Amino acid sequence: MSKSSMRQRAPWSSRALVAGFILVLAPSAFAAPTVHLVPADDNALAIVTLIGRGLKDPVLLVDARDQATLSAAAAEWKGEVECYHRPAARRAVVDAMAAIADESCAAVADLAAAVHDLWPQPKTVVAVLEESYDWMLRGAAFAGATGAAILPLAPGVRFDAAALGAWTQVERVYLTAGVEVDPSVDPAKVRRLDTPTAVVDELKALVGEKLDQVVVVANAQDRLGTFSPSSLSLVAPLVSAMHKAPLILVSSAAGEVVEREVLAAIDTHALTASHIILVGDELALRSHRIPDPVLAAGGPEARGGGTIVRVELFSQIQNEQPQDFAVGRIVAEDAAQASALLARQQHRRNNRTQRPVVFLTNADSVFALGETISRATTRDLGNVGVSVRAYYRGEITPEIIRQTMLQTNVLVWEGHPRDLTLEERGGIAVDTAPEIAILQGCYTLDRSDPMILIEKGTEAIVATSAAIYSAPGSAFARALFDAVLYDDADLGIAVRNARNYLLALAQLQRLRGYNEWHKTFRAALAFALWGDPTLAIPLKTGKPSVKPVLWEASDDELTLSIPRQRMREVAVDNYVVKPVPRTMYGGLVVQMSDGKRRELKDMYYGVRRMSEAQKHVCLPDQSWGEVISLYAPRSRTLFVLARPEWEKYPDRKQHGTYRFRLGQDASICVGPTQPVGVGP
Amino acid sequence: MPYRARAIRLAVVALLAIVYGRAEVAARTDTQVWHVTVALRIGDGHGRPVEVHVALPPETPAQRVSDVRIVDRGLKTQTIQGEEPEVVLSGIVRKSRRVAVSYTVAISAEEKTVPLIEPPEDPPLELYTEMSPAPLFPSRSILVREFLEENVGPVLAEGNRGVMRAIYNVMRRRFEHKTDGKSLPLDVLRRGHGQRIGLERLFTTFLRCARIPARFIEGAKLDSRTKRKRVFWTEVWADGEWWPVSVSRGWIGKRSNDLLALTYDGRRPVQVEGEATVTYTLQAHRRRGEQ
Repeated sequence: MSKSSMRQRAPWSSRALVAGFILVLAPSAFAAPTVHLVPADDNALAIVTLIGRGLKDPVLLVDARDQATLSAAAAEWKGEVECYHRPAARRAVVDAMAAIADESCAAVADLAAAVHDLWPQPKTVVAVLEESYDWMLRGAAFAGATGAAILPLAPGVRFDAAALGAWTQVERVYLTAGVEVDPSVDPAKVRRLDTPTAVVDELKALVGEKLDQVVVVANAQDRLGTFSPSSLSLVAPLVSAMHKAPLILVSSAAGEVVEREVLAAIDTHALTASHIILVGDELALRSHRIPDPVLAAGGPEARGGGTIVRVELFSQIQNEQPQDFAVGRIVAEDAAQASALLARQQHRRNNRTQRPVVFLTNADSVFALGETISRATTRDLGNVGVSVRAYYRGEITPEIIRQTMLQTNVLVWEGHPRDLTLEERGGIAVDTAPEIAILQGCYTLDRSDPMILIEKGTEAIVATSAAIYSAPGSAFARALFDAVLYDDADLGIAVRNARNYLLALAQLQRLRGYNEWHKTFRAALAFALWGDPTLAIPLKTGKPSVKPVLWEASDDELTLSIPRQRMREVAVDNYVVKPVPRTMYGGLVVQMSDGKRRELKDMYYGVRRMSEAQKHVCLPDQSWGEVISLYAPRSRTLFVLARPEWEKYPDRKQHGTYRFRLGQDASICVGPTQPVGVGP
Repeated sequence: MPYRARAIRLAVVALLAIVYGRAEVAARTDTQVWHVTVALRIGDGHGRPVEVHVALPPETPAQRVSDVRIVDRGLKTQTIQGEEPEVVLSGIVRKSRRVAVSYTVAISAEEKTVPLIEPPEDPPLELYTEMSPAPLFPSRSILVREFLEENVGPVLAEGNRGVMRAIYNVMRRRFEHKTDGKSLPLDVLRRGHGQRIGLERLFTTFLRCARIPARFIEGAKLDSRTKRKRVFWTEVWADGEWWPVSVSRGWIGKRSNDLLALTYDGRRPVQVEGEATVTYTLQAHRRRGEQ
């Protein structure tokens, strides 16, 4: 009897066992979650549902205008869809919900009763006034992060013992600003949270070390406006709940105010925040508007006519300081679409199967230098076993773009921007979109694409708010993947490190007297992340085939090991590079002996957590040209960019171990290795 | 015949002549018949198949097309009717050749009182395209929305003059026409000036962002002396019909009878599939005595 026939005749007992397992596991492991729909314009019901169900099941806030989008989103989970509304809900919204759910919606006549259903026996209750939007947001964020029930009170209603109803196990009742308490409530259970400070203090006391290293920021005024204000603050409490993070509501959209108030809160409460999630678009939380540095230096007007660069909040790069926090922005056109974005992130159904990273590079065949760097990056990814599919120049057709949208979790576009999602004559060309899109081109945040990608399922977009040149653009993408592959960075940290790489590169170029350093600096300013900065890029890596560059740190020095073996040469037009994995590039080139070809210069970039006493780096020896050290004090992170002058010492080996002395300032660099870095 | 009777008869004849004469004058200024010729020069197609699409004016209440003729010089021709009528010329082109597509079109001048236009509550499904973004109309750009919120929002807050007019007025005030300006909407938005084509595209974009159905018209100003007589305006949908508006020339609802609409939403009047290069001129003359 052959093996296969033996398999076919597997004992009944085995088959029964397998079937039994499936039956046992099925309800829990494979059950599709129920999708819950509530009107987006019913703040109290929306907030209660988001906090009560949002961590366990997808909750979609419904705006009638988004019916088609939300129908598609609700169908992603392939489960039951239920909808609820209060009697005063607008007919159009109720009809839209019923159409999405394919059944009539349940009426919620009594919000308090619905809250009791959502939290059958809570130990903690947070009471808020329904008429106070700000306090509903704060209270909901607090409740979400601590697992408490949130109970909105109708105008004029005091919190009394009857409000507790069948809740017999309540140990603590938090009353937020404006809530009055009835003497029938046991005073020993009551604690007041009348100020934003009190909320964060209490959150810190309750969550303690579990408090994530995340701060969530929103502007409750984002509901005001004529042209469909995004109202994203409505979903901010869910973001807080997802991260067990404090929600900080700012008093103004102005970037300076946002930064001042958030940093004050972080410092006041001694929060160990490494990530900041901005929940709001440019109208709610305005980025810094910085004059285009190329134009300011007398350079040409940017293609596209931009005279300012929108620089993401909390980055400090405009002050030539490294970005310290990992920053991401939850953006959508309205709260309904934002709820779908968060539901996808929290209840991802598409199993993050390993699909190839797709690069679409240089579709217009005009960026040979950028393409060279991009090809080197795809080699690096392949070197650690990441599946990559790359298309260049004429290979990039509308059909390939459409296929790509279906076939990858991570899309990288490099080159002149195009509308990847749009039909030529109007209308949307795609039904789904990759989880993560890196749009490395000019003004890619300004186009329709980001909003459409988010609508179609993209969770994070890395893109630009200015014109960028191809070399720094591709260098940014390379640095971003370097952080993910070798430093295990999440998306926020990877974007931070990549922007800081460009800042260091701009400073290095300036040191070398390159007039065009402003172009690199503009690219450093222009990149930003739309999406949750704690998201990981779904890459599965293996052991490198060719050993990469290695940075190691001790108390008084950084050690850089450059292996002898290099990867295969990349040549595009006249540009050539033969990289050791992790070598960085950025448009610095040296003419080769044939007088025609140009080789990209090697640079090495390392990111390490260091103390204040180790924030300055010295050159290892005379064969190195420059070293730039940038130090981010809050995260205590040192960013080092070093450039060897191999071209000056052709006889010298281009591999080996190099030691970079560390110290607090320039005085530690003595002898022939003078510090030339620019740092704080 | 008594003198008085003759005088009365003459007076009646004179009155009738004046009345009819005026009516004729009024009709002449209202509707004008034009003979239009699109003269194409199709360059060497290297012996490969070439397809040239020449847009015919769409039939609308304001323009009626008749008598389409094609002088094709050996190419296969096909006339396609529908919402976007066109003549398709196809074949293998080895040497440069000239082709002409001509037609007669009667254009009625329009001077409509455009209503206050707000975003429709429940727009018909067939207007989906005219409310959607397109590469030439980036209506879902954050820049576009920000501009509307920060510049048009306060105007609307002052008093309701209709969203379309508020956008129109703000654009008239904030954007300058420059013949050497840019033509893409975001380029115009960033710079604050642009060519007429760019201004109209941006206007269409703003309207779509505000959820008002809008379409961009490329047409011809038939009494122009330029080779292609290109002209652009916008049509805005409200109350079941399209209303002509030109933010770059400053009129609302007033379209003269020398403005011929050729294509919608960025479709080119002459499109080529294949390797040949095609140049064209548009010639037009009034048909005298015809209405």
